[in-house]
Amino acid sequence: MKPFFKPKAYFRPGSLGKAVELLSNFGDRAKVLAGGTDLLVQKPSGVECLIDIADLGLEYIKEHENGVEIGAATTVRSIGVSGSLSSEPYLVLRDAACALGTPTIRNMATIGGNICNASPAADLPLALMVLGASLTIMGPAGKREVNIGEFFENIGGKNIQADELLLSINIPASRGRCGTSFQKLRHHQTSIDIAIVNVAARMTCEKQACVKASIALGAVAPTPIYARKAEALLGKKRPNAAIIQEAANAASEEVNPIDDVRGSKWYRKKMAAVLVRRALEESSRRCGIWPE
Amino acid sequence: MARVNIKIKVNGKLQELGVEAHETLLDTLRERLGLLGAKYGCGDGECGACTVLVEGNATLSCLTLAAHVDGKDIETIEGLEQGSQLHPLQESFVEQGAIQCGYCTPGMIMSAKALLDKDADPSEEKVRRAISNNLCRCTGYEKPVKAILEAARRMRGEK
Amino acid sequence: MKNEFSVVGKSVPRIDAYDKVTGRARYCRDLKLEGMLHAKLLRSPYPHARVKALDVSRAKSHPAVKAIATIEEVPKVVGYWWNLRTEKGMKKMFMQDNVVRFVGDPVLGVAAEDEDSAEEALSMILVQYEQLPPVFDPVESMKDQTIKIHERGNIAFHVLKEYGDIEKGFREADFVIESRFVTSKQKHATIEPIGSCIADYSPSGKLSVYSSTQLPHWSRMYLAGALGLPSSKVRIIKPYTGGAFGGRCGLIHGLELMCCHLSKKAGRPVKMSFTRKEDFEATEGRHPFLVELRTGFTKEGILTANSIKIVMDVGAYATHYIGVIADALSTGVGLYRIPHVKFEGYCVYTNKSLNGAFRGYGNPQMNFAQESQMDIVAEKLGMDPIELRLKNYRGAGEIDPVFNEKILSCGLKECLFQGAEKIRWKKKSRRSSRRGKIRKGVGMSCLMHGTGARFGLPDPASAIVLINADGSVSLETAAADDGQGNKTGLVQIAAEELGIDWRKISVSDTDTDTTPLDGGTHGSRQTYCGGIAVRKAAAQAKKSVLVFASKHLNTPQNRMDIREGVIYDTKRPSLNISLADLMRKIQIEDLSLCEQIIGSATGVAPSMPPTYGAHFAEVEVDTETGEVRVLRLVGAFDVGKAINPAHIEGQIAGGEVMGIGYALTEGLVIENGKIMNSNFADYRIPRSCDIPRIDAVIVESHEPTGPFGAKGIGEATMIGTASAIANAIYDAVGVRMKELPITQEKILVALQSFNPPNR
Repeated sequence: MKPFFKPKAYFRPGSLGKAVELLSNFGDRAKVLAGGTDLLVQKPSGVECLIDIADLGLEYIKEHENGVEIGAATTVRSIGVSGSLSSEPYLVLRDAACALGTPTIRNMATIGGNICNASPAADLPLALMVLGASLTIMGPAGKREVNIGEFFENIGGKNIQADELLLSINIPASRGRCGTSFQKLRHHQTSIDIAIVNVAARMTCEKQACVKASIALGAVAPTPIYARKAEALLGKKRPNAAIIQEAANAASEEVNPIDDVRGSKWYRKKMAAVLVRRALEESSRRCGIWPE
Repeated sequence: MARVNIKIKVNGKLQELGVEAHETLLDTLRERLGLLGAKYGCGDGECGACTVLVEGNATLSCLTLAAHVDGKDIETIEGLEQGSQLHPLQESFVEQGAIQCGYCTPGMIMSAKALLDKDADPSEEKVRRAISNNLCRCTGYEKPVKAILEAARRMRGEK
Repeated sequence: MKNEFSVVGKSVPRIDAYDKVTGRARYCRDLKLEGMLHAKLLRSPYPHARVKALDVSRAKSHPAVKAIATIEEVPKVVGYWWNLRTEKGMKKMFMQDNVVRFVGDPVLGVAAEDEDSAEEALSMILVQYEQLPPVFDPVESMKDQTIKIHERGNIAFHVLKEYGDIEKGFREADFVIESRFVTSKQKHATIEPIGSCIADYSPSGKLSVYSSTQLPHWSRMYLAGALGLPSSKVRIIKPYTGGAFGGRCGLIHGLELMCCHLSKKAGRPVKMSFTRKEDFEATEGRHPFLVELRTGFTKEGILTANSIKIVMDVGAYATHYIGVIADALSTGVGLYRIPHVKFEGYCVYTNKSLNGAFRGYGNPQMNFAQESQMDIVAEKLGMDPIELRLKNYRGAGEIDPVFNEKILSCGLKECLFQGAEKIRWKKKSRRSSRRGKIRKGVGMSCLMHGTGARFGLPDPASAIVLINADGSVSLETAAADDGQGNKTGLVQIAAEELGIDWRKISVSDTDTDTTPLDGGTHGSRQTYCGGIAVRKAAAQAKKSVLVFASKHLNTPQNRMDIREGVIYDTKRPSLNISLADLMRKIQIEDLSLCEQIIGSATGVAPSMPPTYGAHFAEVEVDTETGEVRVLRLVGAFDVGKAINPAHIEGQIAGGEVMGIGYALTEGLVIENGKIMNSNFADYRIPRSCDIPRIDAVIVESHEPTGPFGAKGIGEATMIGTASAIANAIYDAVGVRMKELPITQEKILVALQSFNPPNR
């Protein structure tokens, strides 16, 4: 096996059927090419062919009465400036998109790529998790839906087979008033950095109380995770400083980060609490129920 | 090794090429077309020395496969001057003393061009963000940012 | 800043700007020679091992492979141009054995028709290593008796110097403070990666090497010495260079000599270009320092004693080590008038990637320790930090004890006053209440840095000024321009001296075949040393012109001058002739003459005048996360005379930003000898959005020995940034950060572990 990235074949199928056929034929030996900003950095060995999804009509953001549908090949830049995502609860996705990489990277990177790269530190999946998004995946047997919360498995693992293709991301419309927030901690506020810890939060509110909270954290576990205990502390209450701090602390307890060159376990756990607190404060503000 | 046939427009000129499946746009520009302005700085999209425009968008050519941009319009630094007339960005970089070693310059100017072609009157913050993928070790970004704002003024027709 | 000159003191555009802005400038990586092969290195995966056996048979039979050379044939460079002074020194400059001493240390090189084939060939080579125990910590390495990284042991160099009587100094002190500081391994991170060259032998055996070296003539001598060739048969051509900052200060480990050997074997030119990863992992970096300071002072704020003890991590091979520790000595001892000083330095080998020259040499490390210590002293006394500096710095008229030289120009006071005013020091200093989540603070530091290496190393500069038959001028100089703009500055100096339009002067390419002996571009020396040589050469050429002009116009020579390309009688300006006309006459028209005007100069500068500076930083610290945002930076520098003010401003902005990186975000992370952050994602250098407002203040103290009063600037601008930022952090949150880089985690740990004093 050659020790470097030198695929011999490049395909650019014009139909989903053809794309899936190619994926079935090549399986593990093929890689899907979307924006290339992860694939061409990682340059994995043993890749025989590339399947470019540029001509499959997967670049779109569609508003409909049940929510918003985004094609897998939609660039992060389009998401960041989309008018369809300029109100709650979609603001969290827009904020996550604007926090990802640099403007140049955002021109190239796609939402599908960010999801399928399955990095525990990825930005967009956190927003999608608190939006309750689902993914439409197509394989030889047809289409299936996977909830984003069930997509990530272990480190870099995902609920998609080698002969399947991610088609679109479906974000359900919100029932009720929402406030969201996306927080990302970098090194000394350097503008461009992979997250040390990142957090997405969403509060669904009725009158002056939060009826449901959704909190997702990244870079603190083998996959992006929900802070379920923290969420439970917020339901059906009016949040105040003490409750929010309690939830933040609970989130910190739930995470299991590692020591690596970007941050220590100790620091990440502490920062998880700080970022969750800030995310909940901002969500409450945007929901109109903060400050008290 | 199967070649992929592509047709790309580079600085307004149509190029028909056979490229390798794994060939980056950076390598195509440098090795096949002799356009050496776009540089290798890191190979993983962090330094921006390879920045060119694809359909008017700033793009990291080291992370772009040549085959992927089939049918697209590519602009490089070499395409900016018209005869002996420099582009306002090039003029202001020279006049403002915004060039030291010059290695980051082509990429940085292309990022700036992508911005100014879409936004004629950007704020300083927007300029800084537009070139945030262009690392520079020499200038501290001070004079390049000034030069881009000055070029914007010129392009708007202001004195 | 008033300016009485016609081109010196003006911000003329750079002479190479047009090439660079149009994408036409050719850097080493852009060059191609016909028939060129591409080389790659096989690098050791172990931090310390003996290469027991090599099986290159499969690689040799690869059809695209044309040559292989191993470390048993290709020597490593383990010295610098100090070694060139004697035969014995020259021999000690190279070493050859089959031991690899850091992860990434080259074992062999392969030259093939293309890069991919070279890479493939490497994967076909089998190496049998006998692993040896490594040692990574310099303090451990110093003490270890069993692990010998080099024949002579692990201490590469030891220096102990005393001035005065240190114990007496401590007795005279009212207070004594002890502190320990640690600095990091910073990498140059030039945007053109370090490590590219082409080696080519002509059929007659003359070697040409295209290299971005900062030191063309010294590197030529290294190659000649290593390869057993006369210098006249070795030519170094330096193309445009994408930044250096000391990273190309000689030959690159594993690069040029390997290419020369491969080229000789293959009978074809060989090019090798390191990847960014190789740049980070296997080329020289800044020496990490462990500094222990013990400082005594009176209650009036007069420093009486300073004991400096440094352990310097050399890495696997020593090149610039002696120069670096000597620089720490000269800057550590030179800045303040402390009567009793003890300086002890250990340069220690470790099994990690090697270290070498980097902007400031040993000064940024020394300065971080010293200027943090000064801040501690000021606080102990309840004294303004600026006042403490004013009481103790060594100024003009005083003798520098390290070189026994009188300081002839010193603008430090001006730098301190102007810088303080610019950042509004009086309003902001010691104002932080140290309460609230986000806390602001200001800090300052000052520095001195010698220009050139006159008293420490061979430091020649030479120039040839050729006036052409049409009155245009060709300037021959080996000034290596890595982006500083020194070639433009030298043109300005020549133009000023000659009295002609600067646009009429063109500068030679940097080519050792055609440019005379020059010490290269390092130590902030080109404007000063190169400028002195250029000015002398131009003056000589001008004198020759006036001799001819005097005859032609029948006027005494001492009444003549040249202005705007016209030679005229100062008492009767209507009596004149253009330089162009006169040159045509004497070079072409007059058949009995046909003489070109040649002015030349060679030799050393008379001095090593210190450049002075002060940094002021304003920061904001988020006490919840430890993040620091630098809000403002003011860099005030005494440059003697600004030949080109835009160049100085560029150096200040660039240096300050590099200083921010050194202070907060940069540093190679090494675990068990392996570098964990060898890419720009994890080795963070500041980006355009991360930069605060930077104010440049230029002070001109007029250095009498310098060309038009100028001295150096290139290194000074980043020397004190880290200490100013650290002092600002202390002002903001009351924690003293003594280890670089000052990461947000370290700040949070410091904040959590004790309650800093509130104001």
